[in-house]
Amino acid sequence: MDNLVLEITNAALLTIIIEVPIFYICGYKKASQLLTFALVNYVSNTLLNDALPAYTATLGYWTKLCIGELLVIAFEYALMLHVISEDKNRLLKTICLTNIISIILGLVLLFNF
Amino acid sequence: MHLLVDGVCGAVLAIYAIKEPHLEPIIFYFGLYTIFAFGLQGPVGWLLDKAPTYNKKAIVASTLLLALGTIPQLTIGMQAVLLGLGNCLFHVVGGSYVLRKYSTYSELGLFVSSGAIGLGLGLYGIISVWPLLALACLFTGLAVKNMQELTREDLTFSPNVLYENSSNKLLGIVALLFGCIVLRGFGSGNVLESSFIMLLPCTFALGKLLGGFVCDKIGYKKTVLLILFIGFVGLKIQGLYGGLLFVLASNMTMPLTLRLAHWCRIGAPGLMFGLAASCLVPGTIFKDLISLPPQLILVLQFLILVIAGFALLKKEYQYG
Repeated sequence: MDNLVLEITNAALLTIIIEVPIFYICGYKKASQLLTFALVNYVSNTLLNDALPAYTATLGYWTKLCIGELLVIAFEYALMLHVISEDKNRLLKTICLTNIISIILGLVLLFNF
Repeated sequence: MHLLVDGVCGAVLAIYAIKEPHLEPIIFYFGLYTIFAFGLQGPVGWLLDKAPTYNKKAIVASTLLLALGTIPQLTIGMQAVLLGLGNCLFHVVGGSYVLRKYSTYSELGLFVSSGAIGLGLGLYGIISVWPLLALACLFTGLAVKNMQELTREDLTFSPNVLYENSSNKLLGIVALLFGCIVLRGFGSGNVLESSFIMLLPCTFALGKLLGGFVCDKIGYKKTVLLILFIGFVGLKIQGLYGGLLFVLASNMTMPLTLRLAHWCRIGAPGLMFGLAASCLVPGTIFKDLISLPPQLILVLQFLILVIAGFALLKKEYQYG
C-alpha cells in the first residue's frame, strides 16, 4: 500500500516535471498560471492513478488508460478555465499537447527502465 | 415536513423488517417502496405541472395515503405501495413548490436535506410511527393554511441570468445533470461503519444543506470548486472521515443539479424535480452490482457541473 502511494506520488511529480515546462513554452509564463497548472496536474494525476486499479470493469488496461487520459484532459481544461479565461481554444490545444507529450515520455520511461 | 414524511415511511418499513426473518422479501418490499416513492415522481410531477393550483389538495392526499399506509392490518405489499405513493406525491408537491417559489439554492438544499434525517430516525427506530404521523398531520394543516397557491404564471418565471439555448442543447444539459444525480446514487457511502448510526444520514443532510447555502453565499462557480476540493481531500484521507467527506461533497451537488435542471425547463418544475428523484433509483438498486471508483464519480460530477454552468449561467461563466 505504501509502495502504491509512493508510486502514485512519483508519477504525479514526474508528470508535473514534464508538463509544466511545456505549458511555459506554450506561452503561459505567469507564476500564478504555472503554479495552478502544477496543482491541477497533481490532482488529476493522483485521481487517475488511484482510479485505474480500482476500476474493475472488464476493460483492458490500455482502454482504461485512454478513457482516463481523455477525462484528465477534460478535467484539466475545466479547472484551468477558472484561472485563464482568454483564448479558450489555445488553452485546450496546449493541455492536449502537454498530455500527449507526457504520455509518450511516460511510455518511453516505462519501457526503458 | 419532509423529515416527518420520510420518517413515517422509514418507521413502518423498519417494523416489518424487524419481524421478517428472511432477507429476500425485505429487499423486495423495500424495492417496491423505492419504485413507487422515487420512480413515479416523474409522471406525477408531469401531471401536477398540468394543474399547478392543486398543491394543497395534493399535500392532503399525500398525508392521507401515508396514514393509510401505517395501518398494521394491511399486507406489507399494500403498505409499501401506499407509503410509496404518499411519499412520491409529497416530494413532487414540496419540491416543485420550492423550485417555483424561490430562485436561490438554500431553500432547495434545506428541503432535500431533511428527508435523509427523517428516514434515518424512522428506519433505526429512534422515533416511532405515531408521533411522526401526528406531527405530519399537524404540519399538513399548517401547510394548507399558509401555502400560497401558485398559478400557471408563476411557472413561467424566467431568471435573466441565463444564457439562451436551443431546446436540443437544453435536453443535453438536463441529461448530463440527471447523470450527475445517478452518479451521486452510486457514491453514497454504503460501506461506512460507525457506532453512531445517524452519522451517514446526518452527513447526507449536511451536504445538501451546505451545498445550497454555500452556493448562495459564494456563487455557483466557487461552490463547484469547493465540492471538488472537499471530495479530493476525502479521497486522500483513509477511513471513516475520508469517506464522510466524500459523501458530503457528493451530496453538496444536489441543490445545484436540481436548480439547474429546473432552469432548463422552467415551465415544468414538478417533472424536473420528479425525474431528478427518479435518477436516485439506479444507485439504490444496482449499487452493490456496479462498482464505480469514487475518483471517477468525483471527476464526472465536477465536469458535468462545469459544463452545465458554462451552458446556462451568464453571471458566473463568461465566454472569452
